[in-house]
Amino acid sequence: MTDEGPLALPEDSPASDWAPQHLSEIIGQAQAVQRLKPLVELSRGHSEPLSHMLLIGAEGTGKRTLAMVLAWEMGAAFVTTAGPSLQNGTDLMGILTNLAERDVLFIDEIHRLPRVVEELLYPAMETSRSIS
Amino acid sequence: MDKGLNARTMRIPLRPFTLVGAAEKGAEVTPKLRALFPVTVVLQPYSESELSVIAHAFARAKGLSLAPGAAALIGRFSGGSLRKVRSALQLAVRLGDAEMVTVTERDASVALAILGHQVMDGASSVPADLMQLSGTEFEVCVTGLLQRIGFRTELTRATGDGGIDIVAYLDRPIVGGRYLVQCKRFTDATPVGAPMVREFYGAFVADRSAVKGLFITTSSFSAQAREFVQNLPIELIDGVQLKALLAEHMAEPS
Repeated sequence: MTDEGPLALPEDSPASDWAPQHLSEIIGQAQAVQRLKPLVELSRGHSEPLSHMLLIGAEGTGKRTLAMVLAWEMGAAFVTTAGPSLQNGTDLMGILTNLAERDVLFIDEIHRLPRVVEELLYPAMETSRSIS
Repeated sequence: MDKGLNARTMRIPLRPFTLVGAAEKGAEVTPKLRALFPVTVVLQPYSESELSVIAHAFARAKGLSLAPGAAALIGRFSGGSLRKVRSALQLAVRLGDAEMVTVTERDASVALAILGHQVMDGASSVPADLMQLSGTEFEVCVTGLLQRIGFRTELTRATGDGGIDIVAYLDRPIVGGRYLVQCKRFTDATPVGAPMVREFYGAFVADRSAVKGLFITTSSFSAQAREFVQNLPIELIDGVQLKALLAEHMAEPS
């Protein structure tokens, strides 16, 4: 068993392969792109972080890819982890305290966060809430 | 152990960041967490044509081109998933020749079959005219038929297979075992002759582990070909029988 750590990129991450960098390069998902475009422009215009968002979609619909594009569009770092990798509060706090302003933290399978970790996320999300 | 750490109230200043959470179903996420996300975006499954375009884009990024048939197959049979498009393509590239710059339809269908995708399923089950299919599509169609009958199937590589197009396994007592299949898409006017069937039998014998050989064609077999296979574990299936089998097994929903 190896300890990948919460920041390890999965081997099939789109980063190692082809991936769109801009919303306009995304193939399909027209509805989502149409909604997100003005949101990204607004946040960028005000130098604010993008609002938190929940992406719902079956496996392989491009949730991670979309999150990467959003980070790219915001000119921010993309940090990725998954619910099951965050076993305790320290894991999450380690990631959160290292985020720079406007960074995008992607939590895959967020519904699989252990309860204690999820509860730590609540105040963290509220303190950094921006536009709604 | 956790208790001590988490029980303490801590005030740690955080820089304003963006949390992007992902889940397959909204209902899986606790209502409290869901309520903290100002924006929820639902991603839709991709259409076949979108997946084909995506497959083209993946290929282009790797300096490859994709035969139109290959893109269509990947789009159609990768189950609506970006990850599966990517893995099918990666596998197809590895299956192809080293210096290959074009991913062929054949490589794509072999890759999809290896990844366990039912390469012939659902709506487009019975092609109206078998002759409109390409050679590979015809093999894929036969593969679909065998799967419906209950076989596990493997498409073999295009060359060096001694004429074996599909290896099929039936996990059943008595009639089960390894079957070798050759597919020939010929026009009605061109029957399959004895030499082809003899060559297929040669490959069958050389295999040593197969229980039966199936030679399947869209046309018919010559009298000499039929005579040759008498008393051999080779079954010849002509266009008429094939259509009947397709109608019987592919028409009803699985």
